[in-house]
Amino acid sequence: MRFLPAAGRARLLATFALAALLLAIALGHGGLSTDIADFLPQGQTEAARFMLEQVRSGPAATLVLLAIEGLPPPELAAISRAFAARLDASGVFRLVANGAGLANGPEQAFLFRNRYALSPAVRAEAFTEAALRADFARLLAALATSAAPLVSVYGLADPTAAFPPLLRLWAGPGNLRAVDGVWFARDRDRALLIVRTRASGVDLAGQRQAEAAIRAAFGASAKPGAHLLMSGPAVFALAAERTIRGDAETVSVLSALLVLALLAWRFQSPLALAAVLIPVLLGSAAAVVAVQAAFGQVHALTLGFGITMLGVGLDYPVLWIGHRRPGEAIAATAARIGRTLALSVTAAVLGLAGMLFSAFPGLAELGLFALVGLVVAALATRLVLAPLVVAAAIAPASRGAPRWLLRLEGLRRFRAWTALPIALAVLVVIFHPPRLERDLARLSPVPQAALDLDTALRGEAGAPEVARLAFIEAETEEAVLVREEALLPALDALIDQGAMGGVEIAARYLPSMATQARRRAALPPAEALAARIARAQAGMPFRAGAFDRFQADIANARAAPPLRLADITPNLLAARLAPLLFAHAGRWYGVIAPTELAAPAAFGAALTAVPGVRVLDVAGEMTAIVAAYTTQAWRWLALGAAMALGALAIGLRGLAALPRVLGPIVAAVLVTLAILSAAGVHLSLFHLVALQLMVGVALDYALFFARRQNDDEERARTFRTLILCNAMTLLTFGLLAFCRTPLLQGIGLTVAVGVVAAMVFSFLLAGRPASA
Amino acid sequence: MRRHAGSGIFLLALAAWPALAGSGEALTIGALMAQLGTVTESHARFAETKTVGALSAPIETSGTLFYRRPDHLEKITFPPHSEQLVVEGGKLRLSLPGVAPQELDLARAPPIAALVEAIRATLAGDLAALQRDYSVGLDGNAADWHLTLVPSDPEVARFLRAARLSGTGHELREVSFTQANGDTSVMRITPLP
Repeated sequence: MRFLPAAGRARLLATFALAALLLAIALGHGGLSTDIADFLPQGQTEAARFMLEQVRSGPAATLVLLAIEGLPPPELAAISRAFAARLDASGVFRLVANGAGLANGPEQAFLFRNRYALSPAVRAEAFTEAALRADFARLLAALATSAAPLVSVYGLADPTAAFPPLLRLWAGPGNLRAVDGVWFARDRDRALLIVRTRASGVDLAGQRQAEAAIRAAFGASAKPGAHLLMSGPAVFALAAERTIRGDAETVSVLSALLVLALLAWRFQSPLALAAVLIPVLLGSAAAVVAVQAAFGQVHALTLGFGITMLGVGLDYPVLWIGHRRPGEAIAATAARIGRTLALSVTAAVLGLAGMLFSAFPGLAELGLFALVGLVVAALATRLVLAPLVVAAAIAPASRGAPRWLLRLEGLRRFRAWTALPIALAVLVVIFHPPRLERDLARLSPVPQAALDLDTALRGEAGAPEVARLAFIEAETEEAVLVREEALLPALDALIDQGAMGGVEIAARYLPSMATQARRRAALPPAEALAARIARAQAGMPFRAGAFDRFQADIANARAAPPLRLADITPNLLAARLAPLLFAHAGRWYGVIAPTELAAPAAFGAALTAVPGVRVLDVAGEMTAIVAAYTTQAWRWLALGAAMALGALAIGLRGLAALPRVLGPIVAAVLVTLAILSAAGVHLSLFHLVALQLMVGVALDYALFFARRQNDDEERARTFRTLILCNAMTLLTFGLLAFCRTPLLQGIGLTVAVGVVAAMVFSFLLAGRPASA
Repeated sequence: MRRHAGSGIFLLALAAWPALAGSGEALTIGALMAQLGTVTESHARFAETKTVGALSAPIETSGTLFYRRPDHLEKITFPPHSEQLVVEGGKLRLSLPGVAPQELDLARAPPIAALVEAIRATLAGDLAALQRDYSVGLDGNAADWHLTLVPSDPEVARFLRAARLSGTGHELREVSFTQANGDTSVMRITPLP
């Protein structure tokens, strides 16, 4: 069946439209995930999973630290009050604390009412006649001072002073200073607020709403000159999301435009553009569907990476069309390059196959995307594109073997000189090997300045760090609290030694029922207390009944049921306990979070010794996870490389031809590693993957240059086509190098450097001299 | 006789003059505050009687007061109840013999801040500051005025029922507080040159 070019063009355009529609449907079908957490490891041990979940979605992830600076403290304090009131009224926050509340609100009344259950100062010795007498004498003296108005209200009801230590305990970390009753950083004029969002830390829509509420409330409260600082896990997640989304959009649009412009120039036909895009569109659609089927949704990072795969996938149609002679049938083109193209695709796909088995979700997703995309793009090139190209009569515009080609090929005389850069690269790699990056945080798009601000604000606000904490897991709330109480002496010792500034632990605030029962038992019965009071106040000018409230409070405390977590209802108090004591999936967890941790090792050592306590070094755990994945990834990479080598040996019909193809690739890898190392880049898992991808691209170059092609015209075709492929790869991966997301940036830089090196070495080393 | 009677009426009138003058022009709160606001510094002695419901006898203390515009207030109590209380800006410092001085941030203790402000804002003639904490009532005349302060913040009202400050001209002569629990304190003030 023969098509007229016009009909062929129509069919080509229709196929292009269909392919584009398929990709649009595939993308529209599933959501695009932008949460970096989806991309990161889930953890292999139970402890790691728990910790990662807590860090990402637990109460700790809802904490937002706010700071206002830029004006004199009294003005900042006034802004802080107005700001806090508006934040509270927005209803988006579970907690808004700026220091103003605890001093007088319902919190203080609650603590006073429950002082005999909650105060560490409740002991039987405090209620002996002698102790009471001393207390009364103290009260009498205090009533003569200017503090008398307070003493007559609080002191007479609490002669044993159970309340003051309780208030100090809850009043907040000592490192805050107060200006007009509002929290300030100790060493600078910075008003501090602590808020917790109602939305979970992973609910990005909810976090976006919370951020908008914060900005609106600040805008309505601030005066010119004041500026707002925000920090916290959710703030980071939002910033990362914005960066990733921005990167993915910018890079995909920009690289698509540049590649299109390049293709338009080379083939001088808009039809060629459509033709070249068909396999890539089909490959991308298939890749999106495959990733959706396997992982539920496609991460924006995967898509960004997939866009770069366009650069590699585009090679196949470009190689096919670029090598086609005008008017040639499919079989003739296939006879010349079919085998080489198939070998190149096979080796690249086998090399990527290793990624599929990575337990690192991001890697497996990328691997699947790339593999499916490449296979489908290659198949589509041969099965869909080839007939369309014949029908539409598309072939490269330039013909003949220009003089410059011969001159360039003449450069191969100096191929021995390539030993110099290669030897240099080997020396660099041996003596200054690239450093391996195992810190996952480095992959996050959150800038270092933001991380530094977080550390500073956490220190100033006395908020616990999430880098290292310990936790207790038990059947019941009570069991957690009992075990925590057993730890308190060890923790106090650590604080005394200066190993840490303090510790947030639920048992300090909410004693176990056992402890509350012990305290209750220490309270004397009504008659005994009345008798002791009467004897103790003998000879002092107290009237009978002066301590009625004291007696009534003791009687109430003796009759009251023990307080449980659910009974701690005042907002500020409940919010303080929420991240420290909680139920999850039928188990209770107590979190022990040190603040200003100076000696992590001492903290770990003191708590690891206690049975039932698990110490989590979040950074260490992450590093261990990444290290495990890296080792695993290396193994799969090695296997992939071995499979690719096997395929090459078979495809090239023996080992003899292997060095011609492998030489330039190895040289390119060495030079790339040396350049990355010299540039001070730390190699992460993603750089390794990028290297692998770069090897796949280099394979195309080496295989095509290594073909026996005595025909000048065919050599010119190969050269032009490979230069075009190279330029396209640079335009896509090269653009990635300008991303703000370190992960995409690393991939971009590695591949950009690598493919240029591969092009140069393949041309010089793999190419055969024109022989008669 | 007539002359005598005449001079008698004259004398009577003379004797009555200050009272007549006083009752003739009603004292406005603005005028009182303006008058108080002219004082830059004042020294005084005080004698205070505290009546505490829990105690069978009142407590008597005495000492000196010192005020300097705009916000410095000092109260020194003589033995046996020795104490030094200094308020400067938003900070209150209480020093008692044998213990480290205690500092209090007034903004964190609204009831205490209200007590301090009743005296300090009156001495400063700062009506706005007074009205932030209290609804302010005035009776009497320039020679014998009485300010009645009722807390407007319910939280302060739970603690303090009312304050009453009396004085003559630009001098504060008596401060009395009645707490919500019925305790009272009355401080009589005698200006020192």
